[in-house]
Amino acid sequence: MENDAILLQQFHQPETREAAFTAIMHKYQERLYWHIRRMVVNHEDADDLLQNVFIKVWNHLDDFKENAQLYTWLYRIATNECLTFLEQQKKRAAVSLSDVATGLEDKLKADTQYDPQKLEWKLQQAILQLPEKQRLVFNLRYYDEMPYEEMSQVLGTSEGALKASYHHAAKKIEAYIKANV
Amino acid sequence: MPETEKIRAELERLVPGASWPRTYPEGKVPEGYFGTLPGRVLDAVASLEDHAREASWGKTNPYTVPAGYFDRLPGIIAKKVTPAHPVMMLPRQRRLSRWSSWAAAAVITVLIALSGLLWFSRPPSHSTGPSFDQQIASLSSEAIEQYLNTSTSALNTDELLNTLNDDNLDDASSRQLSGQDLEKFLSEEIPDSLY
Repeated sequence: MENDAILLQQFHQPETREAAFTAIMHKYQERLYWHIRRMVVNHEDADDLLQNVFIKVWNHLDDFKENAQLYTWLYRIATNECLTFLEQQKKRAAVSLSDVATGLEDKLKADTQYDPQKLEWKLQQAILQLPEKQRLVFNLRYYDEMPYEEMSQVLGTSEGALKASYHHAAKKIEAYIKANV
Repeated sequence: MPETEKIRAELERLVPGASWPRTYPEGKVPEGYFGTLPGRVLDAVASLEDHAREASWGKTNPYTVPAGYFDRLPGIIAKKVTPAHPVMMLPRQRRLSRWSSWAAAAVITVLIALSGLLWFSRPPSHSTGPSFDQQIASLSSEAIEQYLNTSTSALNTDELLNTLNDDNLDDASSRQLSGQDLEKFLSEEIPDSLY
């Protein structure tokens, strides 16, 4: 894996721009994909959003401040894309009188691998009961193993608030799993 | 301590005995998805840039203007915006002060209000017959001539009054005549010369 600083230098050179961008995509695509996928559940939605994220990265990477970490910047863009998408879903649900959380749960159950007896699926169901921000915090901490300091840069929230949010999320998940054993 | 260990210890503190799976369930990702994604994104970027290029329609102007138009234009505009006669500016002292303007406006308003009040409070006209103009028109020329020869107009009386000397009037009013003086004056014979 090439260093981000080198990739950024190459991106700024017209002759190596495309190659550097491809390398950045290869480096981060899976992490970003799963971050998005856990938020929107469905592969098609995750794929659309991930492509949008990379298109935005291509368009704005020249403006990227190199004193920040590329990795947290990418997560920030991906997170914003997810939240915008979920907000749009909420508006559509309000019009059609359905519920977004239920919609995500339906998508989860529609997965061909879905097995309600397996703990990993039960855990996903529990996570889907959380408010969006708590869901984000839990996923970033639990699955992406992101330190609070970096999470704070991604979400623009204080570390204390993030710790409290993670604490609440873990307690709610525990309660949900106990109730649905 | 590595972040993974920190997270495990943190969760153990929050939810003792939690043995939750750390992997996302094997949700299906189409085969070769991650291998093809960068290529698809680059295609999408190229496509968007092509669209952006197509959308730029060029800025060549098909219209023309008469020769020298832009050279003459400033002069034409300057003539239009310069007044034909210079505006005389009053010195500041000669301009009405703001208070004077307000006072004048107030006086005019009061006059208009009083006129309105007088107009609406005058006794109503009971005349239901023909108008003054109609009555004049109905008179014969002989009748008008006769009227002018025989009547004494109010205007003549006014003219007579105007001929009186104000000093005489003051003298008369200031004279303190007793009742006896008046009797004596009335009983005196008026000389024939006065007739």
